[in-house]
Formats: sequence, structure tokens, C-alpha cells
Amino acid sequence: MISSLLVLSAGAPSVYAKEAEPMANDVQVEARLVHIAEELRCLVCQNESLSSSHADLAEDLRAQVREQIVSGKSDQEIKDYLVERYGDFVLYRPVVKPMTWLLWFGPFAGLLIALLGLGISIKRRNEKIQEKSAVLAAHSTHSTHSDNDPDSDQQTMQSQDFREPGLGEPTHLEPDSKSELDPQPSLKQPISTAHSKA
Amino acid sequence: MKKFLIPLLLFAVLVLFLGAGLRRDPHEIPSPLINKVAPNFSLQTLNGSTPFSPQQFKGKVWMLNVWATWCVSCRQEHPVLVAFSKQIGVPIVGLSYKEIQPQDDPEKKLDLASQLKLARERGSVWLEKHGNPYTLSVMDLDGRVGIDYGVYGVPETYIIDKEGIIRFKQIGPVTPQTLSETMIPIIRSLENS
Repeated sequence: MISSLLVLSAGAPSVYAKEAEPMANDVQVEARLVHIAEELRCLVCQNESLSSSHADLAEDLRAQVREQIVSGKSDQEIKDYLVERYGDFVLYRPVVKPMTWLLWFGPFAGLLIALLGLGISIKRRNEKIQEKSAVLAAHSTHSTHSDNDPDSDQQTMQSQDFREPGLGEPTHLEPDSKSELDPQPSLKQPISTAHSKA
Repeated sequence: MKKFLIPLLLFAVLVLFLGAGLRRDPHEIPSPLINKVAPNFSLQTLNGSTPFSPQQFKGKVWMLNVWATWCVSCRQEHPVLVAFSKQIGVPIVGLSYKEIQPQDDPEKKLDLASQLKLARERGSVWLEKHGNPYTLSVMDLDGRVGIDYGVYGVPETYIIDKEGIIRFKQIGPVTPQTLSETMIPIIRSLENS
């Protein structure tokens, strides 16, 4: 029982060690390798990064990168090494240079142009609306005097309706309200008198 | 009238960009090595004579063709190269690229000498069967020289000028059409310069 456990525990790590053999010589080197390779494109399966690709070439290139890490090269030097051979295409993050300006700044330029266009069109539209409303206003003040415009009549009616309950404009309401509201002061009066009586 | 033209114009620009994108083969990555000095190397040859280095061809226009016996497209390309080698007096150097594949030696038992031996055997048999267009062939067992040349698939073919500068790279099989329309004119103009 114990011996079989020992065999198992001895066997398991060796299996893992074998699988990871090309990699885990040095944890730091591997961490840097992954860090660099994630930013690099595998040339065979172009939508995979160099760190995740299983292509033979990716494995070879990883071996090269690993070797250069061990020999003390900087990340930039290693990337330059690959760019020298395979071009900017290996970089997932394209270099900023005149040829890639459109790529880097194009979207922002497009957004700026679109915003400018939007601003201009809004300004123009506002001006047009103002012009139109000015024309309309001139038109409507003209037509209220002639009684045969049903629209303007309705408008004035409506505006009166709205004003009535809210503001209770005294000039309009007074003649009517007096007769309607007459009972109230008379009601209030007796209560107060009743209070005073009690 | 004007307003109606603006989106149409934008659309036309978009179509042009997309159309240009569609015509490109995403697998053809432009090589940064064009017009640069061909990387130097010194490799064992297939027939076992002295190692070859590109400097030996200084003053000559020559071609470097990456091949392998396991490469399927190479079979398609090979007759074209064989015919071309008979027709034109330009040296073609074969670069036998990683002849021994991981699956050939899964246990990694073979040392470099036996790998070289096996690769030479397989390569010779293959060339005997399909014809040999190469002036000589070099053995890039670990693919290092391939990486230096930016090889990312087999076959690839380079034209190198008298100064040792790479002037052209063909990605994928050489066809009679690319040969007659592009490569031979380039070789001729390089030879005359």
C-alpha cells in the first residue's frame, strides 16, 4: 500500500515534469517569455499569440525568445529581433510611425470630424428653427386679430384654460368668482364667531 | 442634392478600403528582408561535402528555395523548379528546412549526427524520385537559418543578387506564371546590373 503510494507520488510529478520540460527551467524566464510572447503574433496561425500557439514555428520562436532572455537581452531587443525577420506584422501592438498614423489616429480624427459636423448641423438647424418660429410668430400674431383662424383661436382659448386654475388671475375671475365664492366668507364668519362664542 | 451625395461618398470610400483588403492574401506577410543583406550562415550540405555559406555565391545572382520532404506544396512546386533549373543557368540552393519533425523523433533520442544522417537519406531519396533542381542543398535541421530568413512556411523562395542582397521573396509554391512574369525578369535585370 505504502509502496504503491510512493510509486504514484513519484510517478505523478515526473509525468508533469516531462510535459513541462521545455518550459519550466526557470520561473522568471518563463514569466518574461509569456509576457513577451503575448504581445507577438504567431505567423502560422495568425490569430493566435506566440505564447498560446501550438504551431511548430511558434515553438521554435519561443525557444529563441527564451534563449535570448537567458542571455540577458531586453524585451525591446527581443522584439526587434523578431521584427527584423518577420516585420511589424509580428507585433500585436503596431508601432506608431507615419505609415500607421491613419491606423492610430484615424478613428479619433473621424470622431472629431463627425463631432464638428454634428455641431455645425445642430447650429444650422437651430438657426433654421429660430427663423421658422420667428416667421410663425409673426404669422400667428397677425392671424389672432382676424377671427377666422381656428388654430390661433384654440391656442388662445387653451392658454386661458391653463391659466385659470393655476394662477387664478384676479382680473378675469373676479367678476364671476365673487358670486361663486360668496358663501365661503359667510361660512367662515360663523365658525370664527362660534369659536369666539365658545 | 449635396446632402444626398455625402453618405454615398463615404460609402464609396469604405467600399474601396474593404475591396483593397479583400484582394490581399493575409497569409502573405511582406518580408522586411527585401533589399537587405541575406543573413549569413554556414550549414552542412545534403551530399556531405564542405559546409556552404552564402558568401561563396558573391558576384552571382542565385536563388534560395526552402523545401522539405514532408512539405506537400513542395511536391506541387518541384517540377516547376526542375524545369526552371534546366532552362536557366542560375544556381538554386535548397534549404532543407527542419527535415526531422518532432513526430519523427518523439522521444528525442536522436543526436545531431544521426538526425543529419536521417535527413540526408530522406532528402536524397526524395530528390532522386522527384528530380533535383538544386546546385546544392543545405541542412537546416533546427530551423535557425529559416528563422533568420523569416521563413514561416514551406516552400519559400528568395532571389539574392550579386551583392548578396535579397531582392525578392516568393511565399508559397513557385508557379510557372510567377516564374515567367515576375521572377525571371527580376533575375535578368539583376544579372545585367
